[in-house]
Amino acid sequence: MNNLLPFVFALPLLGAGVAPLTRRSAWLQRALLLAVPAAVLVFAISLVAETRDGDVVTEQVAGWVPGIAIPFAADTFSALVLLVMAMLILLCSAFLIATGDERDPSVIPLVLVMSGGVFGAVVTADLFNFFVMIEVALIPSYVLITKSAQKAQLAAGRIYLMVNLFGSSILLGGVALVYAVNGSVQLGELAGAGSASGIAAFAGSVVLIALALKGALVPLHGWLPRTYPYTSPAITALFSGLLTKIGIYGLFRIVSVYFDGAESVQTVVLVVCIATMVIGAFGALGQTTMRSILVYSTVSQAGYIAVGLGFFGVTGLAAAIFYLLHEMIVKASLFLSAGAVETHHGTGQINRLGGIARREPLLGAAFLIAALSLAGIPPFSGFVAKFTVVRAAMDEQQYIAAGVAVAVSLITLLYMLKIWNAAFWGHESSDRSERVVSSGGGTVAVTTASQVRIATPLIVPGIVLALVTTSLGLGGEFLLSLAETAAHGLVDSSTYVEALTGR
Amino acid sequence: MILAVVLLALVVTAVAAPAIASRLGRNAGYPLAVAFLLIGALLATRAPDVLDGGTVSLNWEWMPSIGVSFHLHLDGLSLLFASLVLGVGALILAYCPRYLGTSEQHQRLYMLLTLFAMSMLGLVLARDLVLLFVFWELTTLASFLLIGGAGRTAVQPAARALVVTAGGGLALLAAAVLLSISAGTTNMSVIMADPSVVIESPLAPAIAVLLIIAAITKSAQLPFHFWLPDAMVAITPVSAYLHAATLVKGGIYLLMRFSPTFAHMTMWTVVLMVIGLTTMIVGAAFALKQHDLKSLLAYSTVSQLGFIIALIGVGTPGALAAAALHTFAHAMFKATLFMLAGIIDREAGSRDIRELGGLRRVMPVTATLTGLAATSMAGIPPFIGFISKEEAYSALLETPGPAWTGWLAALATVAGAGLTFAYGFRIFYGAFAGPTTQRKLYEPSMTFLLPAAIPAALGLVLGLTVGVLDPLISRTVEDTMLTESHAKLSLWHGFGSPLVLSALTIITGMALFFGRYPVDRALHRHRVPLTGADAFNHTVSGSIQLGSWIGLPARSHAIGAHIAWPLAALLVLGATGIAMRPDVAEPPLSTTRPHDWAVVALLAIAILALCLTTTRITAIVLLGAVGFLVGFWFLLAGAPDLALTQLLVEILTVVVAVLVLRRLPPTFRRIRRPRAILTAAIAVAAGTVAAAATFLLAGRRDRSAAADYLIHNAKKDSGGSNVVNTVLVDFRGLDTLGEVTVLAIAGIGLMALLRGTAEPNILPADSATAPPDRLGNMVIPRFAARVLVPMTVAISAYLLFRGHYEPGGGFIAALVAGVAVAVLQLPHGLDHPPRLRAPYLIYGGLALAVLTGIGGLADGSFLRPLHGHLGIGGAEISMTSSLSFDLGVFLIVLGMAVSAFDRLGRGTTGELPAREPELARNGQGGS
Repeated sequence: MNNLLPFVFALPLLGAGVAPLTRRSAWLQRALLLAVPAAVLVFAISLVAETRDGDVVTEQVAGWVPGIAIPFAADTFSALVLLVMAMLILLCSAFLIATGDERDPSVIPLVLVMSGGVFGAVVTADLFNFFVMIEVALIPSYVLITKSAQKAQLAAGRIYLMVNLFGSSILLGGVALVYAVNGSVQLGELAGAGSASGIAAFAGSVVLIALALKGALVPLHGWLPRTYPYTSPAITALFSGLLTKIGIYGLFRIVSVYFDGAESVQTVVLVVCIATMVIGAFGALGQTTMRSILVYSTVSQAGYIAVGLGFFGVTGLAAAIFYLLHEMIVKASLFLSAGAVETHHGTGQINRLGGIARREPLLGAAFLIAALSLAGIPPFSGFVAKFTVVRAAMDEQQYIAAGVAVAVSLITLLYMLKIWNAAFWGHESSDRSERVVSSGGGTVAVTTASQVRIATPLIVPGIVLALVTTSLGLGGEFLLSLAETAAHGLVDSSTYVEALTGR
Repeated sequence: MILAVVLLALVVTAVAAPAIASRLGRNAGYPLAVAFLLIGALLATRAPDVLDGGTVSLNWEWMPSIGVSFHLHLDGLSLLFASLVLGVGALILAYCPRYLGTSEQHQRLYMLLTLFAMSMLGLVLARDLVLLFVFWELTTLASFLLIGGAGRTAVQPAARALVVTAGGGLALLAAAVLLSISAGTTNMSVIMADPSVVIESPLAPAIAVLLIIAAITKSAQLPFHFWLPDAMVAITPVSAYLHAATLVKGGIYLLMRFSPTFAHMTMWTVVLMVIGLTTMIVGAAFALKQHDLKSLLAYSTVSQLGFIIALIGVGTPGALAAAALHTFAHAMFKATLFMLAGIIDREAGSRDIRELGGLRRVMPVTATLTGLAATSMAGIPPFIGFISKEEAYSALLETPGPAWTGWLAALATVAGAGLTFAYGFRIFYGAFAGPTTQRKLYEPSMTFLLPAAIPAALGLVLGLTVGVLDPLISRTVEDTMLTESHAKLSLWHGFGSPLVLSALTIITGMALFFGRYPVDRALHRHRVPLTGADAFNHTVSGSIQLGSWIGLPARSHAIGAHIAWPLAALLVLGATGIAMRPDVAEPPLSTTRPHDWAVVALLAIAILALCLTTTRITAIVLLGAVGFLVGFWFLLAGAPDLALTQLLVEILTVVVAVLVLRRLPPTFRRIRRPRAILTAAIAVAAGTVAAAATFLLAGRRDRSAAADYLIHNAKKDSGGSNVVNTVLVDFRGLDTLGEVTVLAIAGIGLMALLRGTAEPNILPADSATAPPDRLGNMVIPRFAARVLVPMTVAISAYLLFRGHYEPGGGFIAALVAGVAVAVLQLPHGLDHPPRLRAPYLIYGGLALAVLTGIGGLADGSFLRPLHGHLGIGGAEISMTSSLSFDLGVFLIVLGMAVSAFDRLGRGTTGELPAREPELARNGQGGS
C-alpha cells in the first residue's frame, strides 16, 4: 500500500508523458483522461479505508532514511481530500469531454499534470516538496487560463500569472526561512516548531500568508474574482475545487503540525475568516454572471471552511474538514451546472438567461439542490456542514463567529436565489432566445438555443455531484465520523509525526 | 415504528404522485386524498393511547458523531397538529381536482403537496432538535417551490417568503445549537423533562429570543408578516393548505412545544403578547382594507395567528387550552374560506368582494358555506370560533402579573376581534346580501363544494358538541404546561367577564361594519409609508449595491493593485516581527567576508541602474548582469553547481528575453513621478523587511542534521560523489521530477499558447531569391554552428554523464545543449522550424523520468535508484538508474529550451499577431 502512495503523483505525470501516443484516437484520449483520476479515486478510497482508524500510511520516497527522504504520508484528512479531489477531476474531465475542450491536444496533459500536482501536495509531508507540488499544479493552470480566456480577457490570465508567481515566491521564501530557522523542511521534524519559538513562528507565518493568498482569504482574495470567471467553465470548476483548496489544505496542515494550533494563530485565523465570510458573500451578491457569483462564493465559503481552524479543537476541525469536502463537491456541482448552461447558451449573464428550470428540470433540480446545500439548508450536506461549524463555534463560545456564519448563510441564500430567480425561473424574452450556438469543428450554426435541449453529457456531472451532496446530507454520519478521525489526527498530530520521523 | 411508517408512507405517496398524476391528470387528487386519510387512520389507531396519557416514540441513530438521532414522538400536541396536517391535507387534495385546470401538468404540484405534508408531519413529530430543524426547513422549501410554481409573477414573492422564513430558520438553528449546548443533548424529551437546566443557563434569554424570531417569521407576525399576503400568488389550494391551515402554524407549534421551558419567563410573555396583540390588531385592520378575498384572508390569517401567539405568551394552562382550540378552529374556518374563495374565483371570475353581491340567489350552497365559515371566524355563537374566543378572554384576564395587564390584553383583543368581526361580516354580507351583480353564475358541482363543506359544517357541529375535544385539548395542555389539566369546554359559560367582552366585540364589530364607508375612508386615507415588501426589496438592493462596491477593488486591470495586498500582508507581518524584537541566536560562524561586500555593491549598482533605465534592451542586459553576479557569488560561496546553473539559466533567459523584445517597443512607458515615488517606497520597504528577515532568521544555527548526513553518507548511499547532484537525482529526486514537470509544462504551454503566432514565410530553397544582406549575415552564425555546435553537444553529453560525480548533471547539460540549439536555431529561426521537435523531447523525457522512477519499485520504492553493472567487452561499467532519470531531466529541459526558441523566434518582428482561438481549438499538436 505505502509504496503505491507516490503514484498519486507519478501516474498522472506518466499519463501526461504518454498522452501524445493516444493522439490518433479520440477514444483513447478520453480513456486516458478519465482513467487516471479514476485510478487515483479507487486508490484514495482504499486509503480512506486504510486510515479510517487514525492510522497513517507513510512512504519515504526512494527509500532513504527518514529525515533525508521526502516522505509521502496519508492520514484520514489527506485521504479524504485526495478522494474528493480525484472525484472532482474525474467529473470535470467528463465535462471537458462533453464540451469538446479535450480535443485540444495540450489540454489532456495539462489537466493530468495539474491533478498530479494537487494529489502530490495533499500527500507530501515535506514543506519544500509541497512548494514544488503546488508549482506543478499551478503551471498548467497558467496555460489553461490563458488558453481558455477570450481575447478581451487576456488581462485576467496576466493577473492570474503574476499574482500566483508572486504567491509562489512568498511561499518559497517562507519555506527557505523555515529551513533557515529549523534546519529541516520535513513536517514531522518541524512539528510544533511554530509554537515553540518566535522566529520559527515568523518564518511559518510567511508560509501562511502565501497559502492564504492561494486559498483566497480576505484581504488576499481580490485576484480570484478577477481571474477565475474568465476561463472555460470546466476549468473554473477544476481551479475552484483544486487550486484554492490546496491553499486551504496547506493552512490546515501547517497550522496543526507546525504551529500546533498556537493561540495567536487561532486569533488571526478567526478574524480573517469572519471577514472572508462577510466580504465574499456581499461580493457575490454584487455580481451579475453566474460564475462570478460562484467565484465570490468560493471566497466566502473559504472563510466558513477555515473558521474551524480558529477554534482549534476536535469539533471545530471535524466541522472544518466536513465543510471543506462538502464545499468542494457542491461548488463543483454548481460550476458544472452553470457551465452547462453557459456552454449551451453562450452567456453566463443571469439577466440574459431565463426559464431554464422549465426547459431542463433535471439540470434545474441539480442546481437548486447544490444551491440550497451551499446555503446550508437541509437535507443536504451543506446543512450538516453549517450545523457542525456553528455548533463548534458556540461550543467554544465564539459567538461572533457563530453569529456571522449563521447570518452570512442568509446572504448565501440571497445570492444563490439571484441566479435561480433570474436564470432558472426568470423570463425568457424572445429577443434573447435567438442566440448563436457554436458547435465543435469551428462551424457556427445559428439556432435558437432555448429550443434545443442541453446535451445530456453536459448536465450529468453536475447531477452526480448534487446526488453526492444529498447523500452526504441524509447519510452524513459516514463522513462525519471520518472527519472526526481526521480532526483527531490534526489536533493531536503525534501519530502523523511519529510515522514521518520513524521514531 | 408506526410513526416512521406514517412518514415513509407519505414519502412513498409523494414519489408515486407524479406517476398517478400523469395517468389521472388533475383527478390524481382523489387517490391521494384517500392515501392521506388512510395514513391518518393509521396514526389515529394510536390516538386513544395518546389521549389516555401515553406517548408513541421512536428513536433511531442518525448522526451519532454529533449526537443527532432520528427521534419521533407522538403526544397530544403533536396529535393536534398531525390531525390538521392530514385532515386538511386530505380535504385540499380532494379539492384540487375540480379547482385545477385540465390543460396543465400537475405532477409537480401533487408531489410537492405530499412532500410538504410529510415535512409538516415530521416537524410536529420530531423529538430531536436537529430533526425538528430539518423538517422545519423542508416545509419552508416546499412552500418556496409551491409559491414559485405559480408562474413568473410568483418568483419575487416566493423568494421573499423563502428568505424571510429561512432567516427565521437560521434563528431556529442557532436556538437549537444553543439549546443543545446548554442541555448537553439534542433530545427534546430530555430537555423538556427538566426545564430548569436550560432556563438557568445564561444562554436562556438568547434561546428564547431566537425561538421567538423563528416562530414569528414562520407565522408571519409583525414585522415579518409581509411575505404571507405576497404568497397569495400561489394557487388557492396551496394558500389554503400551507398559508392558512398548516405551514404558518409551524411557529405556533414551535412556541407551544417550548412552552414548558419558557412559559414562565417574563420576557417570553411580554414579547409574545406585545407582538401577538399588535399583529392581531394591525393584521385585522389591514384585512378590513382589502377587497381581494385572498388578500383579506391572508391578513386575517396574520391577525389570527397573532391572537394565538399572544395566548401562548400568557403561558397559563387556560391560555394554552384556548390557543390549542383556536388553532383548531382557525384551521377549520380559514381552510373553508380559502377553498370557497377559490370556488368563487373560478365561478365568478373575480375575488373582489365588491363584485360579489347577492351570491345567495345564484350560488346558494356556496353562499351558505361562506356564511358559516365567516360567522365562525367572527366569533358568533354557536360556532367553534365563538368558544375559542370566549376561552381566550377568560385566559387573558388571568394574565400573570398586575391585574391591569390582563384587562389591557383583553381590551386589545376586543379591538382585534371587533375588526375580525367586521371583515368576517363583510364577507358574510358580500355573500348573502346586496343586489346580485352576476346573474349568470351557477352553483358548482357538489364534488367541488364538498371539501369546503366538511370543515364549514364541522365548525358548527364542533361548536355545539365542543366537549368531544376535551381530551385532545387537555392532553395538549398537559404536554405544553407539564401540569395536570382537565379542560371542560362548553358553548355556554354563564355570565361573566368573557361574555361581556364577547358582547363588546360584537358591538364594536357591528359599529365598524355599519360605519364601513367612513371606516374605509379612514383606513385608505393613511397609506403605509413603507410596506414590508418594500423594506425587504430596499434591503436586498442595498446589499447588492454594497456588494458591487466591495467588488470594485478586485476589478482592477492593474497587476499592482492585486500584488499590493499580499505585499502589504508581508510588510505588516515583517513590521510586527521586527517590532517584537525577536530573540535570535548569534551566528555560529561569521557569515560575512570582505569580498561579499564587493559583490553586494556591484549588485546594488546594477539593480539601481536597472530601475532607472528607460530602454528595454538595457534592462534585459542589466538583469542578466544581476544574474551573473549572483552566479558569481554562488561560486565564491563554494557552490559550483549552483553557479553553473545560474549562469546558464541567465544566458538562456537573456536569449529568450531578446526574442520577446523584438515584439515590444524599445522603451518603457513613462511612469508619472508620484507613482514612481510610491512604488519606490513600497519596494524599499519590502526590501528592508526581506533583508531583516534574512538577517534575523538565516545563518544563525549550525549545519542541519540533514546536511550533515548528506555530506557524510551521500556517496555511500547513492554511489555519487557530487552531493548536489545526488540530492537532485537521488535523495530529492521527487522535487526534481516536480520541477522538470514545471519546465515541461512551460514548454508545452509555449507551444500551445503561441500556436497562433504567424507562421514564417518559408523562403524558397533557391538562395538566389533570398535578400543578399541576409545571406551575408548568415555567414558567421553558420560557421559558428558548424564548429560550436558539435563541441557544445560533446560538452553537454560529458556534463550529463559525469553529473553524479562532478559538477554537472542533466539540468546543466540540457542548458548547455540549449545554448547549442540557440546558436543553431537563431540564424534559421525566422525561416525554418527547428530540427528538434520539442514535444517529443518533453513528453519523452517526462515518460522516461517517471518510468525510471517506477523501476525503483523493484528495490522497494518509487524513484529508488537501481545500481547495476554492465559488462561490455569484458569491461565492467557501473550503472545506476539515476543516469536514466537524469537523461529524462535532460530531455525535458532541452525540449523546453527548444520550444522557447521555436515559438518565440518565429514570425516577423512587427506587431504581435492576433491570437486565433478557433485555430487553437482545432490545431494539431507539435509545429
